[in-house]
Amino acid sequence: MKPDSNIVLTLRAITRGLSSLRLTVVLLALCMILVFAATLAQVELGIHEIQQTHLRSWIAWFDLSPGEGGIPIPFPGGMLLGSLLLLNLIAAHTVRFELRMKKAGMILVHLGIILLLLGELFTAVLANESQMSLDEGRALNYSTASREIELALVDASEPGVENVTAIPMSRLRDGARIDLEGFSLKIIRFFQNSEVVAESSAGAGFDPARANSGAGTGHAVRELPRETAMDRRDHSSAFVEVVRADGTSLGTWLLTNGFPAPQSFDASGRSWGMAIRQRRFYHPFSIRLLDFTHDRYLGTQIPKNFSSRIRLENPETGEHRETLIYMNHPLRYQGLTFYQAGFANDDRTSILQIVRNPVWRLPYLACGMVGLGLVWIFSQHLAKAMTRKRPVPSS
Amino acid sequence: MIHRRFPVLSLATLCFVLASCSEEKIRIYRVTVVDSGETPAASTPAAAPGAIHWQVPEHWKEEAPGQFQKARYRLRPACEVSISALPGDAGGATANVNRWREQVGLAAVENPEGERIDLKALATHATLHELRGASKGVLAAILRHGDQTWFFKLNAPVAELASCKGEFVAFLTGIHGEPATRPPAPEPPPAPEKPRISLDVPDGWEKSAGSSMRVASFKIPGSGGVDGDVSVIPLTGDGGSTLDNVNRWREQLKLPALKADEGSGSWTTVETPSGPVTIIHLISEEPIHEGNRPGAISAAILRTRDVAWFFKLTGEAGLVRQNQEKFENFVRSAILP
Amino acid sequence: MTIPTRRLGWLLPFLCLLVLGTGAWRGLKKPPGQDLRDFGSLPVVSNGRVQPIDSLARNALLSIHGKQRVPGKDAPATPTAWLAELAFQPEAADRRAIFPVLHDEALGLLDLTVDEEKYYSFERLVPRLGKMSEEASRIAAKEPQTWSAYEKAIMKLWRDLERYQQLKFAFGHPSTKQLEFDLNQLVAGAKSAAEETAKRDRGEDHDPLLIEAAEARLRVLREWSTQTRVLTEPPAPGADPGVWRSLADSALAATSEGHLHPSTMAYARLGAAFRDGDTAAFNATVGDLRHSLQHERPSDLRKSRVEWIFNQLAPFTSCMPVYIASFVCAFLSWLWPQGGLRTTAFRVLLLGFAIHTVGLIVRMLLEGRPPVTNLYSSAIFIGWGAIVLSILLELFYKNAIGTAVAALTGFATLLIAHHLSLGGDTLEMMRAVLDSNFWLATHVIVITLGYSATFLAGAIAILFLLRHATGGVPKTAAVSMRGMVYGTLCFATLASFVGTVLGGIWADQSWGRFWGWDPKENGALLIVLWNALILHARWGGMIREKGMMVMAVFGNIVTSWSWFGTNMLGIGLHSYGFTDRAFLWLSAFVASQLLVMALAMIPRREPA
Repeated sequence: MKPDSNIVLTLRAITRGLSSLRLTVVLLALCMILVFAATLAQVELGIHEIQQTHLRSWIAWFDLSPGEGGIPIPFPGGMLLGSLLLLNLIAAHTVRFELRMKKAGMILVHLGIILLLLGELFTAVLANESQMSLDEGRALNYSTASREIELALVDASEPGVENVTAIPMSRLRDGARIDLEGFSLKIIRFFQNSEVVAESSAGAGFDPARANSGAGTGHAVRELPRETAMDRRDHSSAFVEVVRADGTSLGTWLLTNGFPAPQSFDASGRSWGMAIRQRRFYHPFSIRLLDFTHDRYLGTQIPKNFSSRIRLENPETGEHRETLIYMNHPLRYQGLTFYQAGFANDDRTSILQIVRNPVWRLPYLACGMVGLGLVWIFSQHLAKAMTRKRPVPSS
Repeated sequence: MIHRRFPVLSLATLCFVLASCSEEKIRIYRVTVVDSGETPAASTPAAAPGAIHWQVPEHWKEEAPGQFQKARYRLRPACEVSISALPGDAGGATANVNRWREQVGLAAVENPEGERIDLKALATHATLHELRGASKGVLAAILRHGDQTWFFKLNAPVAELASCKGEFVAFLTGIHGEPATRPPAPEPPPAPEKPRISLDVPDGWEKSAGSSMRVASFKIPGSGGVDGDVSVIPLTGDGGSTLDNVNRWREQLKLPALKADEGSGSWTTVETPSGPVTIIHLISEEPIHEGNRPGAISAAILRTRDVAWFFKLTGEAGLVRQNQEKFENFVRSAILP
Repeated sequence: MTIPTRRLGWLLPFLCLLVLGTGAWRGLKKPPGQDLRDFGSLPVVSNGRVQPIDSLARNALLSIHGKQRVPGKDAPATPTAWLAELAFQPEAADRRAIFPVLHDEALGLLDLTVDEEKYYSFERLVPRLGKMSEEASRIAAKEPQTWSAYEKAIMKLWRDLERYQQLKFAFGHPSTKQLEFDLNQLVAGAKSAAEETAKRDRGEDHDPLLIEAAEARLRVLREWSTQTRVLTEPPAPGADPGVWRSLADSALAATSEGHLHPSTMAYARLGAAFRDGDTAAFNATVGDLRHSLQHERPSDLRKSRVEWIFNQLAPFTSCMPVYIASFVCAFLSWLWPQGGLRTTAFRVLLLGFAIHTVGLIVRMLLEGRPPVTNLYSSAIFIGWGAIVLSILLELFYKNAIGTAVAALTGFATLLIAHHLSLGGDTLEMMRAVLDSNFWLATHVIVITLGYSATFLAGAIAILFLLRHATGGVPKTAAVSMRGMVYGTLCFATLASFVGTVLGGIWADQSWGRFWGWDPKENGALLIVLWNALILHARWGGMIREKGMMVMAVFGNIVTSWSWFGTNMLGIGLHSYGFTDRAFLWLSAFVASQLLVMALAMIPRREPA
């Protein structure tokens, strides 16, 4: 028989190391430190930012001394710790635990935790959240991303139809050039968060770029730091130049999500409307808000309950049904879940949150397994403790 | 058995994968526009009995109206006109004007006055309010027509407000349409425009805003920031006995209350063309106002058949004393129709 | 000499019961002055719920003044008496020094000198209201997280003043001493004004003065309507069940309906009777009010009465000395094990626990919800849960450690609860987002039990380390404590994990997101991780007895962070706000726990 090769020996040593309980304890402690640091950092950076930088990254950089001159210290990020914990669990099971009834509880618990970790990983990668802000009586067939914008070029020449070319936010960078059919766009300046004012009120600190066409003429733009509060959005702006195929410029426009109306230009024989707007996700169906009710507690403004009566209209399936969406009662349709998230405009507008998460059932399954496993283990312990001799009462 | 070329293949795949997910793709798609015009039965506003039309000047660029707007135009990059209509009285002029005042950073007022703009074509008038904030300004016209209230609002920076005003007013006078077929809904009781009492206002007394209960209100500028205040308030009935009122005023000056038998010496009754008037002058013994100054009240009660008129001058003792004679003459000049 | 320990074992609990009973009787009997008991139990609506006037008064006074007693020699004896004075004799009430102004800069803004007084009356603050109003609007425009201590002080004072004024206008109008007369005038005037308006519209001769006078009165009424949010007129039987009206709105409605609601007239009459000191008329009117409410809203009247009795008895405050007594007994039982003091301590604990439970149940009945709905009720329940677990431990181990720990945690949590009650109405309504009895009953209770268990393990560990530092722990006690801590930690892990998971499921059902990395969620996760860490470290042999105790004490720090610290950050879905004092207390607590943990470094000594 051939002796185990070096690779196999090394692998075995690594696995044994990975399976150690010591490692589990160390990893748990590191997780606690990461979670605590992330919670503190949320105050400044906002929950959304924290998820990207601390919890879904491989390395998290801690800024120990705030302000300039602080030395960022690397710390294992959520992804790294999660993966190590996963490996630790799997290794522990392959090395130490056998499949016996006695150990069933422990196996179940750890399996459940593995599923939970995987679930969070898949959610991070696959889930998608968007919102629909519906006025009473109106319908929408798209939802918008709350933290992502797009540069949309809309050709609305056909009645009832829009041909949209949407440029994702990641491609909007200073100096970027985007080639389209028959013309191209040159992004002269892009501001993730900005303030747009009339030129006359612009002081120092405002960008020198100006638009020469469209509603944006006579306005100046200033860059602002990103918004981190949960209920505020960035006001993104861009100075965009439209260049014909032959290289001549059609003009420079100022686009910002503060100017909701599209600004038009003609190119390649079509008329386009251009605007920066929250990224849209179009759906094959539309939702119409029939009525929004907002109950308050007697004599106060404290919300008691809000609910939206909506009508789902799907031309493909011919559906035309009414339903109620309210707190703790979402609508699940076509792999999407619609939640009542908020309201605006003096109770005339309802805001729905739409979540697509194909692995939404995973946490339920995982937690069920862990719960079962824990109950198993602790009843075993309890049984042992009860049947053992009772300790002598101290006299 | 690991194939010899496995590492190379896996490396190649890795590079390919990395390269292809470099740039996010541009999304090109076709969508149907969903008709959002249907209004559910429950909240359909009543259809206007008469439609309103307006003439849009040439250089005004039409823009997509916002929610609840009928139309929107841009005169200049920073000047925009929006037109909307709301059922009923839309909350009333005061509430709306105060809302606009808040938008430009001004404090709310009680009874905003506007300029009257005659709309001959509709045989009615609109009220134009001009609001100037620190940097933003608003010119807004409110028009009641049928059972709707129309708002024509111009938003502009304060510097450009004056130059836009002419255009805007010209636009307003051009509004035409079918006169309302139904009479307008009864308006809330109007604020009394003129006091139903005629008085001679002495020199040095300035009209002031006062409160909703006052029929006339004046301010006497005083030194040290303590102004005198004059009010005229009618109350139905007899307004309480003189002694009760005097004690009320005494309490305001931190003076002890008078008992029933002590009282009648401290006030006088004077005959005036409108009837007998009881006048009393009170000075506080403790400092009331800033700078350790005592306060004083001069008050008069004019009782008629159904109404008791209360005239009151409050302020710092010196100021009140100086104006005592003016106050008495003021009260004596009261003529009730 | 043998002390009849059996008999004595019942003596102390009996004594406690006697003392409590006396306190209760005193709370329910008539206080000096006018008999405001029935007045205090009248139901009104404020802050979104039906409550007795006594609660309205008590919460306001507590929130404004920090105590339930007004200072001064001839001050009103009870919160209800204070509210009655405020509503019916505002000039007198305005002279009571109840508003604390402590911050230097706040005193400066208000032109007040730093004398001996800490408390100021409304009258003294009136001249500066204008300045305060400007400051308040300026501060209100900023984000609450960024307020400095001075700004927080001003905002608190401003809110208290607003609340005070609201109550002043709740049952009458300060500018009139004859509200009943005025209201009748109002209705009569409105009728004649309507007639005159009709005459005017017909073009006939009319009296414009009457119309104007009626208009003027209406304006005053409308202004009054905005000045209070306390609703006194119950809805008419058969009308929309929820809609109560304030006194001003009731009067406004009367101008068009032509007659005043009897409850409005009754409150108007109450004012006059109170001012005249006419107890007979006052009580007769209150009786009329109760009579009519009995017809229209019997359930509200009943609930109001129950809450009134609950307020007078104050069960949670009465528990606290009982727990102290129990702890003292338990402690003494370790010094004199043969005195039967262990059973006494246990019985006294059970007495306290019974009262604690009754209080909890009454709160549940009054709110119509599971026991934990806000921070205050979480404190009450954490104490209750810890006591339940300790009672089980005591029944199993029989060494007075369970009793001692129960008494300790019970007292500590009730003290925290008392301080939390200073923030306002503890029976307040829940925000819509949290309005689900099912999830409140499952997620919140389980995770609160997790908190209880972690605190319990920490408390036992503290006892262990204190004994260790002061002479060492005898072997049997050490073994039993070790078992207690281990068992409690196992339960804590289970409860905190299940509770956190249930929270995730609730979030998924409500917002589509199982885990949002919200500070409160993170706090709960930290507790689960820490408890799991201790267990794994124990199983791996990395720590022994002393190590486990030290780590259990650290668990107290982790749990207090999750319970209070996360609220202070002011972000996320769980933010309730930041108070400077609370932060100081939290830091002091953390420091104390670290000190106890340091005790473990003292080398172990076998007891002599």
